[in-house]
Amino acid sequence: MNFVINKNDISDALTRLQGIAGRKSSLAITETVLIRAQKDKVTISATDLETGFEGIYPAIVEKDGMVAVNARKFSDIVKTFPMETIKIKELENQWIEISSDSVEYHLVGMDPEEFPEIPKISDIVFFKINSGDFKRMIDKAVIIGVGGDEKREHLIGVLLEHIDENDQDIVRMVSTDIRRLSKMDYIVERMDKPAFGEKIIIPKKGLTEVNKFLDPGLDVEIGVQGNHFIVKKENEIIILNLLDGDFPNYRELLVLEDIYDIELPRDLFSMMLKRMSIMTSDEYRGVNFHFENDQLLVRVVNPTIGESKETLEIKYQREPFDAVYNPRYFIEAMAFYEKDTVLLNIKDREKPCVLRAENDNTYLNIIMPMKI
Amino acid sequence: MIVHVDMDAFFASVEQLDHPEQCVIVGGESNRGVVCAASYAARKYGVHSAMPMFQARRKCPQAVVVRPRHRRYAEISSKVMELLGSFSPLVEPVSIDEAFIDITGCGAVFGTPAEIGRRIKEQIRGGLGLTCSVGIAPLKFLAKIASDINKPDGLTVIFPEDVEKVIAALPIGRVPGVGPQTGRQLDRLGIRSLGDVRRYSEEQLMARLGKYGRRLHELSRGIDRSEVRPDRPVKSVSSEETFAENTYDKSVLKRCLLKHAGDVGRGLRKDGVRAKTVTVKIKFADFTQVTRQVRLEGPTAASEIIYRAAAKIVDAFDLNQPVRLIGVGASDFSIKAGPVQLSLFPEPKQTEINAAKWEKADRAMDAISEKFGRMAVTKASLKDD
Repeated sequence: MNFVINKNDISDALTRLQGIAGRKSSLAITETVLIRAQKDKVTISATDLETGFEGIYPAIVEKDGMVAVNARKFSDIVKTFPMETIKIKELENQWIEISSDSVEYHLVGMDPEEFPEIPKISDIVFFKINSGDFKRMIDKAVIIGVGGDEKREHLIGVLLEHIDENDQDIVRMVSTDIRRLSKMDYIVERMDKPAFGEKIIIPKKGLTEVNKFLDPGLDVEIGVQGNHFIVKKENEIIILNLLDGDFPNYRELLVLEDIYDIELPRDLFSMMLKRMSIMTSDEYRGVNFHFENDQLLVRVVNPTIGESKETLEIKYQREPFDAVYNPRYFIEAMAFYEKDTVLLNIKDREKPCVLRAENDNTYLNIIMPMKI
Repeated sequence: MIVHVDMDAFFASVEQLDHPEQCVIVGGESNRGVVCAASYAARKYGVHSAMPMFQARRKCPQAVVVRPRHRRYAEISSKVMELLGSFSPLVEPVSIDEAFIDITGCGAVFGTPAEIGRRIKEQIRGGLGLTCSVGIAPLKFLAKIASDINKPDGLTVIFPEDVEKVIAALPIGRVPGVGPQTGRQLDRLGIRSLGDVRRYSEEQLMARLGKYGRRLHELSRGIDRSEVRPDRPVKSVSSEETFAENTYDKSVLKRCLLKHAGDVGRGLRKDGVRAKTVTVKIKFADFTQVTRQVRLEGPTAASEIIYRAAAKIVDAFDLNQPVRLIGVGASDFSIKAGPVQLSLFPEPKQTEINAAKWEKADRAMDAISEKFGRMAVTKASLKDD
């Protein structure tokens, strides 16, 4: 194998795939990238056995071939390489030479035959989604972690649904750690043929990796083949193993009665909760919300740190009532709303409350209270 | 001034009171255990605590060996602490047989420090029939060192004007916190006494000893920031046992853990705390010792949860030699009654439900034991113990 490649063509991709191949793993070959030179192209592959990546880049190939090199070292070498063009050549015994006129590296490689197979994508139905929109959906989904050590599918994965509603095709993502749940709807152009079945569960970890490859402004295509979720760019493709399992029935949580809505100024509410969370700790996360007579009083009484309280003028004329919440869940969700006002639908101190934008149910955050 | 009271051979002395024979050794009756305490009469024959029992018996064959009765010791201990409390409200129990008392400002009522020391000794002897050694010094660490100077039944006062002299001559190995390893390190620096420490700067000491370097630097200059803290909270609860015979058998180890997890759980419930970390201590036939810790999913006071965590540690442990002692401890206590996060879906973590149920069952058992005695209700697998 022997080729010349442009540094800028691969530098970004190598940085972005570090989440897949750049970590220590019990299987050494997954810490490498597979480099395959053929005709006028070089294919770079990476996998952690759950998330696979493949990118094709132009190159001047003198001799076809295939090598596997340490992903982190190769990326660092390329990133800091002093020249625009890089010569890459296979030597004996799986050594790889990376050089220009003035620089020369010899890097130990591994047997490329050991590299795990990445599924081949055949002719499947893809549908287009705007990268920026898709990225925002993923951001909203993965801010909700996996909920401790539990390994159940609906905690480590995000539900992706295709919904046909009012003559509209909706792509919906639902993410939960069982203490809270987010639902994001994205209305797409009418599909001729659905790109994926009704429901699939995609690992949060894999989606975080997908996110790194999304460039705003460009469209990407997504689809499902067998047991894989596929995100395709012009020259790059990411393949995630789907999770096999059930997702709890969340739909009844989406039924809201408007009379329980409370309008809140987004920034003020968010800042207030940030100040409150100074007084929370791992052992004592709760903040008390007290609604009464056009006022919201929030209060923390943490026996090991101290106390704080703050009031906010709101519109509220129902019966006074108290509920306790983890403020972090609100702060994280609030950052994704764009309008100045959010609606907090809150009915009962033991029932979940719901955050949403005014006249817009496409992004809902459902948050479970704490019990004293 | 600070007083350090150290009961003389406490367990053995209590047993001596209850068994007025000559020599008393407290410990397991089998030859396999270690001496938990020895009366001064037995010590004259060379018996000391932590000595293997068979050796102790050989040295002092006429001694009476009694099993430790912690309840009895705790009872006497609380009487001692109560008595000390009549001298000053600032009493810090360090362990069952040791306490610090801050007598600053008590002079007008009780007299000079030496007089206070004498009175404490008289009252403990008169009221309880026990002797103690008392050390009095302007600094806490010196008070502890002083109580050790004329043991047993001693009384040593280090006056403020003598502090300088005492520090200069104090062998470094006697300074609290200096163990064999630190001792060797300091020896290499030519430090033999606490006074020698003054030749080094704080930075030099910290570079070698870390945080302890700063403390040592301060101690050598007569600064001891530690105060007498009457409300020093309990930080861990533990219980352990030496086997009659060394064992490889994990089922024996776990059965023993079951019993001691019960004791630890009871201790936690009694103190009204919940622990988040469980520690297992294993001592092998060659007396080497290892500890392994596991963090629990949530704080607990349930014996069963403590047992399960401990048993898991034992299951995962590779025994390459037989075990002579095993113990279990719980630490990292959590504050009580913080709010609990509810779940959106009716699928609460099974473990949490179980923990709450076990704790409830344990509390019921505690109540029964309280009323009808320890063996009124117990685990079926422990009924022969």
